[in-house]
Amino acid sequence: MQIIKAGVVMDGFKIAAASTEGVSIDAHFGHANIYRVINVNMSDKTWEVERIQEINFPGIENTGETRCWGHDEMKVTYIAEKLKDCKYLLISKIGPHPQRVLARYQFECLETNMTIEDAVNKIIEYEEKR
Amino acid sequence: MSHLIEQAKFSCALGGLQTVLAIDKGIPIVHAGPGCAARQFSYLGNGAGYQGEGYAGGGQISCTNSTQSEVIFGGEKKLRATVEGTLKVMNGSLYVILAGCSAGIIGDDVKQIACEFADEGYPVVGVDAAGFRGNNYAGHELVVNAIIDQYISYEVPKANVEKGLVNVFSVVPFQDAYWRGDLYEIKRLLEGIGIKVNILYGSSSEGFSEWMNIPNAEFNLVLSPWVGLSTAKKLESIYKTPYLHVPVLPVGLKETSRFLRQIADFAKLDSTDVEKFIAAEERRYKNYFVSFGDLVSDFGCYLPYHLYTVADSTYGIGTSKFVIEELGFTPKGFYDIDNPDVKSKELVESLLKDIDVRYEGNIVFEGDNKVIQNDIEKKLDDSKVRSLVLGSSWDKEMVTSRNESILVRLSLPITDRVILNKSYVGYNGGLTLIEDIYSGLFADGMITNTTHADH
Repeated sequence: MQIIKAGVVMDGFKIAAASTEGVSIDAHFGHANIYRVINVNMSDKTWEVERIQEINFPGIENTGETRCWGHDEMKVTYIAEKLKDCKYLLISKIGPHPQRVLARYQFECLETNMTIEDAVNKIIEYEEKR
Repeated sequence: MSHLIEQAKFSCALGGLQTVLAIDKGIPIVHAGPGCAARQFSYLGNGAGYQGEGYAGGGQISCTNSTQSEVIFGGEKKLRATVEGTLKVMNGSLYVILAGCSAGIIGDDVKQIACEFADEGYPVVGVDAAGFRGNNYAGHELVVNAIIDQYISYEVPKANVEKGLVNVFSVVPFQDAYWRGDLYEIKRLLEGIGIKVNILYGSSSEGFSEWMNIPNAEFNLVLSPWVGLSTAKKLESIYKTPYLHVPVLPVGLKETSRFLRQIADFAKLDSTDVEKFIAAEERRYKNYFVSFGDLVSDFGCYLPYHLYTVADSTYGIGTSKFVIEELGFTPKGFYDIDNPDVKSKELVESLLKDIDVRYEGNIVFEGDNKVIQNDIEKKLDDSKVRSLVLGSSWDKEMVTSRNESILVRLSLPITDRVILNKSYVGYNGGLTLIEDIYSGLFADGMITNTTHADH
């Protein structure tokens, strides 16, 4: 994947990390409403948080909805659309059903409770070896 | 160069999990991707004459179900949790962690994790059984050697030799579909001449207590051309236990009597008792054999007399020797499927040529059944002779459609027979093999006297 930044084409990819406070991967997919979208530059192995993607489903914004939405295909699809520029999805837990829906968008869903920094560095290491 | 195997005659090293299942209350814990353990069971359990899941096999196998997350972040944390859970819910005498390909590639240290649990007093060992380590014959040896290295040698550091006690390392459980009956018969024969036997697997064994008694054996018996040899050498190095290597599995009268005399000689047993047992067994055997002689003379023109063997070196050599030497078949091809190393290949070739010089040029080492079938098909078509093929369920159509040949299911997969205590080993096994070969004459129905007379 190529990322264009300030007019320069770079080799890299994006990672969506489900993290409420921005340090650890701490949210289950069915409840995660904040994702840190991270831009990874493989040419110099650096990364930065590009944006914070909030998930507010249309019609129920800010209503305090707490039910797990992992089995709601419409909602999973909605999230996938919001994060579709990402290759990896870092999540504390995710069930098989949303994984199947997300697979249509070619997400690699990775379950972990690591810090964002450690997890992203592991992915960079993995991508380097591929 | 890599190539595709169309019909694999063996599984991968992870198939060693079936070896664990063959030990009473042995619990495998698989550290591999979803499906790996199920595929092993499908091939080595169902494919071995529907042997069932057993105590902790098939769908009950504890598995980390490793995914991409474990590949990227490491799977040791998940494995620890899986082992902890298994120890809580599965009552076992021994727990063996087997790491599959993905764990092997990313370098998860299963031995270290097993060691952590062993330090807490649990009987846990770890085996790197990644598929690229070899086939399931290699996996079997990896498992056995790991149990000795990582558990037994620590628990029993010094041998307390018991006169007349022998450990038997022979057929690979499940890969030899008849392993239960075979081990029963081997034990029966050895006990018959006064040996006390650690048979180690199946219902003939006393379970894991036998394994803990391995160091105390007077000697180890390796009853196979190469499988088990590394274990015997290991035990010789740790406990100074001598070993006897008998590369030919005894099938039928001649070889079984020879085998028993060889054991008696090595163990310095009283020959009077040994000969008494052999004489009684031979008398019984000959009684049956003579009664079968009428069929041979009556149906002489229907009998098959060319032999093709598709099996591993242990079972294949034993049965072929019997069929050639005691039933008078002509060897036309031996297809060794267990992928032995170079030295073992030389041994296999020399054993076969000792049986019959006509094996020269007719020995093939090949793990792909399709390649083997292509060769046998051509030979059957060229010879037009009714033949006996010691093969598998995959060969049924190929064999029965050519020269009315007869198939005896010897190697995996065997999916059109149910196998419980059947065996082709020993005196009894020879008789069973005769039954199965010549029952093939009537596979399409009875041969009436009228039809018979027409020929």
